[in-house]
Amino acid sequence: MPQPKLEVSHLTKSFLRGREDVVRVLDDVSFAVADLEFVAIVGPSGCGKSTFLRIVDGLIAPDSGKVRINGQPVQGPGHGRGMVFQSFDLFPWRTALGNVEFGLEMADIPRAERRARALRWIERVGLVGFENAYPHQLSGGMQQRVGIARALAIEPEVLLMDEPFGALDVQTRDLLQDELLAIWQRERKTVLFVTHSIEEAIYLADRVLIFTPRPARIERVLQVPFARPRNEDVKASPAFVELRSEIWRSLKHGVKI
Amino acid sequence: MKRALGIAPLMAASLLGGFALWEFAAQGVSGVLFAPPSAVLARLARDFASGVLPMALLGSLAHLVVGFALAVIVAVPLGFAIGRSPVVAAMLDPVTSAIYAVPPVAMVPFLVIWFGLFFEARVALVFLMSFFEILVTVTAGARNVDPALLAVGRSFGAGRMRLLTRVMLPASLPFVFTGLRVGLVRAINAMITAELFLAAVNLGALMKHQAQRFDMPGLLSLILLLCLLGLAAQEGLKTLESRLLPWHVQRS
Ligand SMILES: Nc1ncnc2c1ncn2[C@@H]1O[C@H](COP(=O)(O)OP(=O)(O)OP(=O)(O)O)[C@@H](O)[C@H]1O
Ligand SMILES: [Mg+2]
Repeated sequence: MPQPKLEVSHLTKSFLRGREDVVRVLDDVSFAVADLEFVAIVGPSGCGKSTFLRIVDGLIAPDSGKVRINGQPVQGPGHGRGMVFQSFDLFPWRTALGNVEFGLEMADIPRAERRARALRWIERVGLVGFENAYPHQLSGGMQQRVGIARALAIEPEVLLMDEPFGALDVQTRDLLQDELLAIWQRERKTVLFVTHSIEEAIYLADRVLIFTPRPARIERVLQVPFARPRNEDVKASPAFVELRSEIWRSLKHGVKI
Repeated sequence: MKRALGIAPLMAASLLGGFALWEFAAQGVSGVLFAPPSAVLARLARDFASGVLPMALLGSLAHLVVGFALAVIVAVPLGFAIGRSPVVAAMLDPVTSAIYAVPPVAMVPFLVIWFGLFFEARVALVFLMSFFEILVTVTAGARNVDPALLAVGRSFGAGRMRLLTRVMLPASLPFVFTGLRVGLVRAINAMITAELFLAAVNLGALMKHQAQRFDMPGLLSLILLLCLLGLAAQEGLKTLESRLLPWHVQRS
């Protein structure tokens, strides 16, 4: 097997709740993601998916274990990873363009180039005409387009997405799923995508990882067999429905009722 | 836009109504106790034209500006330090809260001993009265920066310095402006308080003088002047805020 793009090995993480109550959130999580692969993660609420993604992003350090990108250990944020957040988390004082420029600014890219690159991304996510709008003037779907553009503008090798469409209505969500797939195919990125929606995971991903309830371990890994490019029709196919109930059973199996 | 147009006539109507009521109330009250707005406005215009008021006002503004500027320069960075550093907060919060509870006028005898009766003492009172308002508001602003936005900043590679200048600072600017507005109103309070409680000069001296002579139009014209000053200061800051923080003003 060629070197994986992203490799996590034996990640564990606990949080202190209150003074002495230790909550174990990740328990020995290991897996590898191939270059250009689209991997979705599903798991029960509160199991540790966001924590996992934050560790991969370098925002928090694991208690033990390692994250490697191209074989290089990750220490701290930046460098090769771009994150898209569930509640968009745009800077309200920056325009759409200013938000997209943020990461480039942090990377000390000169002003003119920064502007040109950000404008290119505004165009690619379909926001031409809204460059100078502030986040509060944009709909949820538009705000998350800005969030996606902000992450992609830094040209990350790995795109991390934490329930990026979770706060959107169904139509907007379906639309953005297709646009994300188009971008992913065009830009050739490796994607780690956390979601609550089993359908979304199957529709988007090459592989679906199922996490157990807290502390999160990997319960199962499922390959998604559908050819690309995919469209809405695939959701009605018997194989899709079968896969969906398969994942549903695995999720339920982990949850003690 | 629609609402702004709707509000202006309302404000004008309220102002005119207020003046009408005042004029009506002043009818039949002795001239040594009260004065109608017509007389007060006429007096204001006359004293402005004669140069008496502009001179006094300039003198008053001098310690207002110096005291308020000093308060801003110290309170804003200190508020940030208290709001963002648990260590600084632990050291300074109890002290500032304790002093904040003391009415500034109670400090006047102390200020006299330290700064005398003149310009320095007036500056000190203005500083004292506006400093804590600004400090408390800026501290709250710095404390309330959305942790999610800080995470975004870090995720995109911002270090400590840039987190401060590119995330925390802009995120708390609305609080800073609120602090400036409240602080400025208090500073204007202190400006006139200082002139009444310390050596009587400028507007304060005029006030005392006119009160002693039961010169109601003169006295009320000074109070009206203070009202106008407060209004102008607040509107000025609001305009500045809408220029500098279009994202915030439009949102609220
Ligand atoms: N900084 C923290 N301090 C203490 N506990 C934390 C912290 N961050 C997360 N936790 C706890 O860790 C557990 C996992 O949280 P996490 O946000 O990773 O779950 P999640 O799978 O993303 O949940 P959701 O599906 O609701 O988004 C939760 O019980 C949460 O309370
Ligand atoms: Mg989460």
